[in-house]
Amino acid sequence: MVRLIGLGVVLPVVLCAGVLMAAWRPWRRDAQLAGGLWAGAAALALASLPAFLAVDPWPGLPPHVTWHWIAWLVPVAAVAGVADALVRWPTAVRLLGAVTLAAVCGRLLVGDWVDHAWSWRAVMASAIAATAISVNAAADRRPGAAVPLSMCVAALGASIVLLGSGSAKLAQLAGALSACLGVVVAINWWRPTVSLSRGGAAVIAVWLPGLVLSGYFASWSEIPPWVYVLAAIAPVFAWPAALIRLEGLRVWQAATIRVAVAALPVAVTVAVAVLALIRQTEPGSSAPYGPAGRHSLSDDPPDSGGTVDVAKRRRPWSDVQPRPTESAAGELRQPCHPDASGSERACSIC
Amino acid sequence: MKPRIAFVTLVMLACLGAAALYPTARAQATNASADETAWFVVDPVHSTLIFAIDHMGLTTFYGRINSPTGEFQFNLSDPTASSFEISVKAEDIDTGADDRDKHLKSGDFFDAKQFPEITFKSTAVTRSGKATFAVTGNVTLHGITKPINAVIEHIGTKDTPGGTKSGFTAKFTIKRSDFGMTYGKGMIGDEVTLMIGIEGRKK
Repeated sequence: MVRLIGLGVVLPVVLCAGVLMAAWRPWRRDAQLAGGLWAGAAALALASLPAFLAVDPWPGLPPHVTWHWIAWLVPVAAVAGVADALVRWPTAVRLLGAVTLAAVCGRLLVGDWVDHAWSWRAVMASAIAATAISVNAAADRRPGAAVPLSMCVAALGASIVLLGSGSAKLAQLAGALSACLGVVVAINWWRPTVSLSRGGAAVIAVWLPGLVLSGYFASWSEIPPWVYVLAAIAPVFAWPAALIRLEGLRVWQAATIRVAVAALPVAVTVAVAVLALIRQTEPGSSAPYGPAGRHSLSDDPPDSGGTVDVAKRRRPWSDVQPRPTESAAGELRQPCHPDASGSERACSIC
Repeated sequence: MKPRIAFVTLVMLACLGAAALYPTARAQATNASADETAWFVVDPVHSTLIFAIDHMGLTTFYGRINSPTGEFQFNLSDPTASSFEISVKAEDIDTGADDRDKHLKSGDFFDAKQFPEITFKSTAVTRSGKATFAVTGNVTLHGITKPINAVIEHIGTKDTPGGTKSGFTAKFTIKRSDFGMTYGKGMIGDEVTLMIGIEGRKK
């Protein structure tokens, strides 16, 4: 636990804050102009190193677990982001760079073992490219805390979805990203002139959709795939939120509305994931897994059509409850658990 | 001697002779089967893989992986000619709680979609006792292959109505961290004891 929190959250936050403070110098009125846009990418990528080491040893090349590519791709995205921040590339070149990075990530983060691998590669690449481009555009259009706060909320939502899907490691990594973005929000609140645009957007684009979709590929939960896709592209909604014209409102009011709009898909995905988590932790169950042998979605699996599904072959406990009996008055009486003496009236459970 | 008494005496002598000869005949049959290397196919219904792991320093938790498959060749008189190749599917893990099974199959533990097979292939078998054998082999788990040493016990080889069958048991320990499964260390033990009972039917 100490390792997960210390190495997985505290150290990334400290590193992220250290780099951003050193580069942006928010105590100066001309903050960021003195430091540069590259700091967002560098800070998040540096923070990703201990965050990853908290959950798994650093992977070799090529990693034997497919999602471990994220550990390598986040620094690569940071290098691309820093290059984007330092050099004024033409828009076409920047777009080409984002699409190329997304295509490489799509190829590497979706293994051949995934069903419909090429379709999912297209989804992964599209999510990463759309996130990079839209977060960039939103941060450029609306400097301030609203965009990083939207990213922070999206990462937190992704963490909950991943937790619901049974991938605690990936949830931990998404949580680390959310914590680091919290630092960005705080600095942006203090000095709205600093921005995550350019460099930082590329890192978020690889880190967040990469984690969420990887969580789907490895998951055995019943959370439907559209939830993962929506959680993966949740940062994209910062762009339409940034387009909303909110005249006559205070800065914090406008920011709140924009964050609320951007967080709508997050709310949907989190609701589905929380329902899945609640199903697993019913009262009286052995948290976090629920009663032994209980089926979480369907008590009566459909006819297997001749094939035997071992997981569905066990009967849920509810199937062995006594049937209702008819009383002398002709009423159907639901029997309860008899106590040690066999008396139903004295049952302490019902 | 009356004919009836003579007949009964002859029958008794025949029975005694047969009884005296039976152990020799049985031994010859056993030797005949022991000398030859026979191939056996693992019977998933009568084979078991159970794992035991420490939970929070409070108890030993047991689970199983159902339906082992594979085959082995066995030669009682020349164990070096024996070999074992056993596999289970990671998705067949069964701990009695569906949600825990799903978590165990997820990327936190077995990553059963990317690494669906858990296999053991022996590389050397030597006799270590009257009915025990030292087996060296490679376990592939979570996409990582590591050598292990185990002592297996030959329970017996029998002719049954379903054919000739042979069975073994083994118990050995691995470290899950050696196979890249580090999630929950501290709460869940690193050492996993594996208990295996394998029954095979002669090909």
